[in-house]
Order: sequence, then structure tokens, then C-alpha cells
Amino acid sequence: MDRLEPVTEQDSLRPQRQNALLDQTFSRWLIGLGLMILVVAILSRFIEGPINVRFQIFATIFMGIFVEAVPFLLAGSLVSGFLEVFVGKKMLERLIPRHPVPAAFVGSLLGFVFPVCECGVVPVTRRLYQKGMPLTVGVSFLLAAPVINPIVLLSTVAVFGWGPVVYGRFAFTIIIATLIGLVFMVARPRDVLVPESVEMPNLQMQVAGLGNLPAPAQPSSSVAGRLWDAIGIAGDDFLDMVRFLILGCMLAATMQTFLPQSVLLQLGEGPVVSVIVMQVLAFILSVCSTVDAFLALSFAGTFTVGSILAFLTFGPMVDTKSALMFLGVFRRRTVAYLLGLSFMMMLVIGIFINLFVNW
Amino acid sequence: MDRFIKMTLLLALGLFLYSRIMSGTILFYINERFVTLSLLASVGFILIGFSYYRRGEQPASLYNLGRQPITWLGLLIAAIPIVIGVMVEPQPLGASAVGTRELDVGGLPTNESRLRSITSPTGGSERMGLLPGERNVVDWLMEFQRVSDPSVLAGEEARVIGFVYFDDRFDEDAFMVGRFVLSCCVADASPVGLIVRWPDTQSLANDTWVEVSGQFVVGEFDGRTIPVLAAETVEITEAPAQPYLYR
Repeated sequence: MDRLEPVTEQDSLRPQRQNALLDQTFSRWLIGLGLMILVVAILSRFIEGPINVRFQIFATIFMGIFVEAVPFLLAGSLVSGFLEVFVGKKMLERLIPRHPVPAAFVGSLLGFVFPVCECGVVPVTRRLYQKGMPLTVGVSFLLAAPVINPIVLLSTVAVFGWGPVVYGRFAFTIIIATLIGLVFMVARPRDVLVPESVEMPNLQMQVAGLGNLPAPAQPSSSVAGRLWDAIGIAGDDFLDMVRFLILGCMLAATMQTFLPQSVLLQLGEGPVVSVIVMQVLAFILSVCSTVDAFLALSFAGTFTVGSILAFLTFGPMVDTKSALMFLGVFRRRTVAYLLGLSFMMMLVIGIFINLFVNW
Repeated sequence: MDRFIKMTLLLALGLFLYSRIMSGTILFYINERFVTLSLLASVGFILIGFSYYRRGEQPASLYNLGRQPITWLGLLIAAIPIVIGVMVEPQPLGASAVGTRELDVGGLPTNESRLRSITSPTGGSERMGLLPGERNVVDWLMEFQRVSDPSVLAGEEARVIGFVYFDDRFDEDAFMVGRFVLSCCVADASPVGLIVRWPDTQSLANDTWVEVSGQFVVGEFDGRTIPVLAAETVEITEAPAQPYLYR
């Protein structure tokens, strides 16, 4: 069964909600990188020359990705806050079929219920897990929602028209997300998720476990009070996740400042290499899924159809900034699985289209 | 204390975004179609910041049970955008950023039939009705692609604005009048430009904004035959408030 297994009594007695950001060596490295760049920022104010120029480019690109992404993260956090306050567990359970296969499929379509893009989807997924959503559903929702929502549908149709690109993008996203979701059918939530994202099965137990904290206030009863509660939770969620977003933006901006994009694009237009190139490009660029179709159009003339579809399907699932944000929900190993599996599956599909399908 | 730090962070972020929108420098970072969203977000941050003030000193409600208070390290990371934003003067991408990206000066090999099969017939053609004098750098490049034979455009008058960019691949008496084109934010910006033939290139430096008028002639770049703008006048101008062009 893929329902969340109850955490044993002993587990819940441990103060288990540690700070995930500090928990992992990898994250420490990232924080180190972030702080190093910050120091360079301060120094480069006093140095003339190429470092200053490079840093100026870095700063502009960093601000670009951040400013563009941050409203979507805020929107996702607000959805998360309202989910917590206004949507009960029962309501969610009614939405999801009991059998894991249709459940994962429904998960990949949930984007139409919570229209969020790749930044907003992360806090919503975390909240859904805290509310006891099965692993499979959360994974397929996380991977599919950035594409499977009305806004992305509209923008893709606006650019490419009703045709193979639109059908392919949506079909392959649903297929890949559902399949990867099913991979997690037998996994235990505590092995996959960071402690913050695991459902708290027994509130009383938790209160006992955290006995040294002051007793929590009860949820507000008035609608206005609950509204403020939701906004407050959104703020906390936002501040939890924004650190991952910032580190992801710094990483993406660093790569873009120092790796010449032209080298990547000249690597090849062959049926295999072109797909890899476009997937790597999508990963580095970290462009929001709501507008990546416009960008894909500029490659449409020079790149194969399979690679364009790979760009439009793989990019929204995982990219530099969203992979970093996944670390706020999943354990590091799980993030590597999600990245590797979606990359490989789309690669196979892209190559197959290039070789055997004539669009 | 935790509440106060979070409140300050959110208010600072909101005010920072708001100030960039008001000064117009937000257009150095993102496509103009996202500015409304940024404005909404800045209002949202300020609103949420105030909700922390309203919340009072009571510990987190039942919903927030066990949430760790923000650490000084977390605080530092969350403050990075504001620190960078304040430390580094906002500046649009310019000539120095062209080097790491694929340059499009027209005449790139394209597979017309493939392009047509996967794009909608109406997409991107809405600016085609422009008079030649109104076309910007991107409009001209699209026109090049449409006619495909550069000699068709020879003799056409053009007037475009862009930044000056020099490259080893250009002749002595040539420079590029360039713009960055973006669809989302500067992360996906790619440089485009027209190669300009102009005897007095010594008087121009990288990143100077110029308005170039002249006529197209058939020229060559990287072994491809492309239309080159033979300049009659090159005037130095102010950078436009909206430095990028959009796809």
C-alpha cells in the first residue's frame, strides 16, 4: 500500500523536525558557495577589471531568475497556507483514488486543481505530504503540475498552435510523471522525505515529544482569523523555501556567467545529441514553464522536434533552481532519482521521436 | 525575535521589489509582461510582513507546530537578493555578456519545412506589417529569414537602435548594433544584431548606445552571405528605458 505508514511512537517522540538546510553536507557546500559569491560581490565593488564585469553579469542574471520566480513561489506558498487552514484531510482523500496506479495518474492532473508552476509547486507538494498525501501522488503532482495547468496550456498553444508539440508535451509529461510516481509505490515516506515534510500522524504525541515548547495556540475560529492564519503560514512556508530558491538561482546564474552557451549549442544537431543538448540547456536556464514555449520557438528552426519536446517536457519537471528547492521536501538521494529518472525517460522518448516519427 | 526578523525580511523584500518597479530598473531583469506579477508580489510581501506584526508574540499556532525558528544562516541566505540588489547597481546586459551566448546576425541555417510543421501559421508574424523604417533589429532578422536571399533586401533603408559590439570575426570597418532578446528573464536572453559597415569605428566603444541609419548591402559573416547595413549616420544616443526586445 502506498498510504503513509504510521510513524512509530518512538520516532514521533524524537524531536525530528531538524533544519533540513543544515542537515546535509551537500547543502553546506551550497551555502558555502553562496557566501563565497557574496564576498566576491562585496570585493568586486572595489576592484576594476574582468572580475567586476563578470560579477555584474552574474548579478543581473541572478536578479532576473529570482525576480521572475519569486511571485510564483509566493503564490505557491499562499496555496499551501490556504490548503492547511481550509482544506481537511478528508477532502483530499476523496480526491485521490485508492489504487496507486490511478492515484498517480490523478496526481499528474492535479495541476488543474492547484494551478502552480515549477516554483509554486514545491511548497504545495510539501503541504500535501504533511497532510498525508501518498508519496506516488505527490511525486507525480510535483513533476507534472508545472506543465499540466491551464496557463501553460494556453501559452504553448499560442506559440505552437494545436499540433504535435502541444499534444506531445502534455502526453509525455503525464506519462513520465505517472511512471516516476509509481516508482515510489513501495517506498516509505521517512526514507524519501526530509523530516519536515512527513505527516504528523498523532498530534498529541508530537506535543508530548516537544514538551519544552510553549503550548500552541488553537486555530482561530472566525473566518477573518483563519484568513490571517493562512497568510501567516504562507509567510513561514515562503521563508522556508525561498532559501532554496536563492541558492538555486545563484547556481544557475553562476553556470550561465561562466559556461558559454554557444559551445553547448554547437555540440550537435544529431537525433541523439540534440536531445541531450536541449535537456541540459533547459536544466541550466531554469526558465519558468509559463513562458518557456516562447523560448523553445527560437530553437525550433535549428533543433530537432524530439529535442524541442524534451526541452518543453524535461525543463519544467526539473531544472537547477527547482532541483535545489526539491531539497526542502525530499532527501538528497530522492532528488537525484527524480532528476535522473526524468532525464533518462525524456531522453529515450526524444530520441525515439527523432528516429521513428516524422512530424 | 524570530517574528521580528521574518517581518523585516518580508517587508524589505517587498519594498526592494517595489522600488525596482518604480525606478523602471526591473526591466533590466525580466520581460515586461511579468512586471504586474512582481507588483502583486511586492504588495503580498508587505501584507504578509504586517501579518507577522499582527500575530503578536504568541508562539506558532497549532498549524505551525514544531517549525524551527529561522537561523542566522537562513537569515543571511534569505537576505542575499537584497544585499546583491543594494550592492550592485542595476545594469542591463550589454556587450560584455555577448561572448558567452550564441550570436544571431541573420542567415543562421534553418530548416524551413520543419519550422512550419510545428509552429502555428499565425505565430510571430504580427509585426510583419511594419514599415521598413519602424523595424527594430529583431524585425529585420525575421525579415531576413523570411526572404532568405539577402540580395532581395539590398538597397532597403533601415534605422535601428542598439548597443555597439565588436568581435574578432568582424572586419576592421564593421561593428554590430546589438540588442538582447528575451522571453522570460535575462537568463534566457540571447544577443541579436545587424552588422554595420562604418569607416569610423575607432570613435565607438563597446556598449555605447547608437542609432544607425543606412542601406542594406550584401555582405558576409563566418562564411555565410548576409545583409549588412552600410551606415550613412551613426549617432550616439541614450540607452532606451526598455533595453531588451521580447520574443
